[in-house]
Amino acid sequence: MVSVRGISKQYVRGQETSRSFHGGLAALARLLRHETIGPPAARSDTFWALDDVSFDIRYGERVGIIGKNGAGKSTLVKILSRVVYPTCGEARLRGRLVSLLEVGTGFNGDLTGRENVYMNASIHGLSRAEINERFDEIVEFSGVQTFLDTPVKRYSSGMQMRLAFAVAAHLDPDILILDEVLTVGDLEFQQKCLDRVQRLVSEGRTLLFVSHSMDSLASFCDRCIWLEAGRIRADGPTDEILDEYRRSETLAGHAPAGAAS
Amino acid sequence: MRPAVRLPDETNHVASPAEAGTVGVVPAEHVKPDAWTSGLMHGGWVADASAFELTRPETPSVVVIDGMIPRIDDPTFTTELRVLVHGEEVARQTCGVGQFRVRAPVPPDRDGWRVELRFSDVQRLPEPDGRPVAAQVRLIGFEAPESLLAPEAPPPGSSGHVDVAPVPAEAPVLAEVPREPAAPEAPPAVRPPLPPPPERIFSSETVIRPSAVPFNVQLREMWQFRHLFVALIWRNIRVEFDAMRLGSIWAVSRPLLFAAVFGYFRHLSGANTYVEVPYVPYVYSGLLLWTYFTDSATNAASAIRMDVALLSKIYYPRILTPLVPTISNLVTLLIGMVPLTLIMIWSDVRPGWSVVFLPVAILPCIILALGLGLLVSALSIEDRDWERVLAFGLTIGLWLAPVIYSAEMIPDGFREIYHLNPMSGVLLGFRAVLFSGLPFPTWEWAYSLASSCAVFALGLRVFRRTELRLVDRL
Repeated sequence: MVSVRGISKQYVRGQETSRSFHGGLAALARLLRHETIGPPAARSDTFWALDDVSFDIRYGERVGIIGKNGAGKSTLVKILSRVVYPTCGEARLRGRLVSLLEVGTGFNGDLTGRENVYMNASIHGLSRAEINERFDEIVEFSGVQTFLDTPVKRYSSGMQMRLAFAVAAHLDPDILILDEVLTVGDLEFQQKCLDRVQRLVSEGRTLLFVSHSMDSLASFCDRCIWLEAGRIRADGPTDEILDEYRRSETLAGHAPAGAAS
Repeated sequence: MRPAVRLPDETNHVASPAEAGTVGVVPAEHVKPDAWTSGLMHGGWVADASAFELTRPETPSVVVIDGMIPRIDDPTFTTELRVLVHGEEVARQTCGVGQFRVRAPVPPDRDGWRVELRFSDVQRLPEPDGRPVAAQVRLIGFEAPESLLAPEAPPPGSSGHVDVAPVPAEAPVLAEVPREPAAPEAPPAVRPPLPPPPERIFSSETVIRPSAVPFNVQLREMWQFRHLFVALIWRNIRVEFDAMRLGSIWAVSRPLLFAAVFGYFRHLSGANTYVEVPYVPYVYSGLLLWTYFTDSATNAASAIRMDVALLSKIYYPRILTPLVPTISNLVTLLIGMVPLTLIMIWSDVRPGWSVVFLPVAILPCIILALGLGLLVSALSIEDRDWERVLAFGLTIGLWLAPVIYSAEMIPDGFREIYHLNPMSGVLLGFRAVLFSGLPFPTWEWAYSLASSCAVFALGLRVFRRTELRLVDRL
C-alpha cells in the first residue's frame, strides 16, 4: 500500500543562492540542464530533516507517527502527500491518498460555501458528478446548511473548519493522512470527526496519523512509528512504542536535574 | 547458482517477523542489497500491480514467474497477467485458477532489473483477511536463456537453475487450495463469498522520487485533475467579476482609456501612423489584445505566490496554477469585444467573412502568454526580480509591437528584425481577420505561432524543473 525506501530530505539553513540577477541566470542555466533535485549539497549550513527513512504500510493498517517537534513528522507527511519532493529515496503509494495537513486548505473567502465544497473536492481530484453524489451528505455533516450561499469569509472560523472537514471526510480515500486536525470545532463536532475517521478506518482504509495526543494515537492506531531527528527510532505496536516514548520523555525531563546534582 | 532463498522479511521488508517463513519469494542472489519491492503483501500475495527490483543476471536471460491464482468463490475466475521488464511488456497470458508459470526473454542489459506484474482482475481473500489479491507469487527470478528453448517447462516448484522455497501446504489465509475439488469438500475455513472489491482500489500507483514525474504521467495527471483546472478558472472569473460589481467595466476600461488618449493625440497632431483603417478601432483592437497578453503573462507569473496556501498543503499538478490566468482572462478579452463591435459600427468598419477565424488568429498570443507565464513564474521562484524584468519588458513591448501604429511605419531594412517579436505577427493577423481589406500576414503569423510554441516549450521545461523545489522555496 505504502512503501517508503530511504526517503531523505535535506534543507538548507538561510538563503540557498545569492538573490541576484546573475544568480537568476545561473539558476536558469541549471534548470535547463537537470531534471532532478541533484545530489545533496555538501555544505555545513544544511541539515537532514529526514534521514534514510524506510517502512511499509499494509492495506488497512493504521499507523501513528510520533516524535518531538522537528523530528521530521511533517516533512515525512509532506513528502508522502507530494507537496515537497524528497532529496533522495523513493516511495510508492497505491490508491487515492487524501492528506489533511491543515483544515480549510484552498478555501476562498470570496466564494460561497457551496462553491468552496466543489472547489475543495476537485482539488482532491473528484469530478463534478462524484461531488454531486456526496454533496448532501457533506452539507449534512458540516451542519452549515443555512449558510451555503454565503461567502465563506463571513463564516466563523469554526464553521469554516467544519465545512472543510466535512469535505475531507467524504473524499473516500484509500489512504488518509491526518496531521493534528482533529482538534477543530466544539466537542460535539470533534466526536463526530473521530467517529467518521473511526468508520473510514474500520472499512479497511489505510490511516497515517500524526499527533502528539497519546490518547488519540492509542485509540486509532495499531502501530506507531517514532521519529527522532529525522530517523526512525522505533517502529512497532502502539502500546509498546507509546510506553517507550513516555519513558524517554520522562527521562529527558529528569536528566538535566540529575546532571546538576 | 546457489540454492539460497531469502524469505520476504529479509529481502523485501514486507512480511512482519511473525509471518516470516511462510513463503519464499525472491531467490537471494538476484536481490540487490538495497532492493525493494512494491505491492508485495505478506504471504507472498500481490494485487493488480507489483514491482520487484532484482540484481542483474550475468548473462542475458529469461524471466521466470511462478505463482498461483487462488480459488476463492469463482472457479472460472481468470485474470490476464502482463509482465513488464523496465516498463516494456515481455509477456502476456491469461491465467485461470491454479498454478501458473510465465517465462519470457528479457530486453538487453540495463542497470538493475525491474520486473513488474500487472493483473487485470483481482479477487478478495475470505474474511477476516479481506485483502484484494490477484495471485500468490512463489518465485520470481532469472534463468539462463537456453532453458527457454527446452521443449517442456519443468513442473512448477522446481524451476531449472533457481531453487524455489518450499510453499507451505496449507495457505493459512486461503479458503480453498486450488486444484482441490468443488466447494462442498472445502475445509471448514470457507467463508461466504464477498462482493468483488471496488475497482478503484489499487488502480493506480504513485511513485515519489526526487525527480520530476515523467512527462506522460504528468499529462495523465493533468487529465485527472481537469475538474480542478475548470474549478480554478471558474474561481478566478468569479472572484474577478464578483468582488467588484463593476468587474466587467474595469475589464474594458484600460484599453478603452488608452485608445481614447491615443486617438485624441493622433487627431490633434495629425501624425501619420500608416494605418489603413480608421485609427480608433485599429488602436483599440491592438490594445485589447495587448492588454490580454500582458495581464495574462503577469498574472501567470504571480499566480504561484497567490496560490501558496494551496500549493504548500496539497498536491495537484503544479503546472495548472500558471496556466489558469491565461484561460480565465479570455473572458475579459471576450467582454472587450463588445466595445470593439460598437466602435467598429460607429466608425463604419466592417469585418470580412474571415472574422470566424478570430479564435485561431489569436492562438499564438495565448500560447505565448502561457509560455512566458510558465517561464517567469518558474524563474521568480528563484528570484523575485524576474517579475519586474517581465513587467519592464512588457512596458517596452507596447512600443516595439504594432499596437498603436502600423508595421508599415517601420523602415524597410528593419522590418525583418521588427517582426522577430512574436507578438508582431499575431497582432497583424488579429487585425487582418477583424477588418476586411487588410491582407493576412501569413508568414509573420506563422513565425509568431512557431516562436510562441518555442517559448511555451522552454517555459514548460524550466517550470517542470523548478517544480521540484517549488514549495521549499516559497
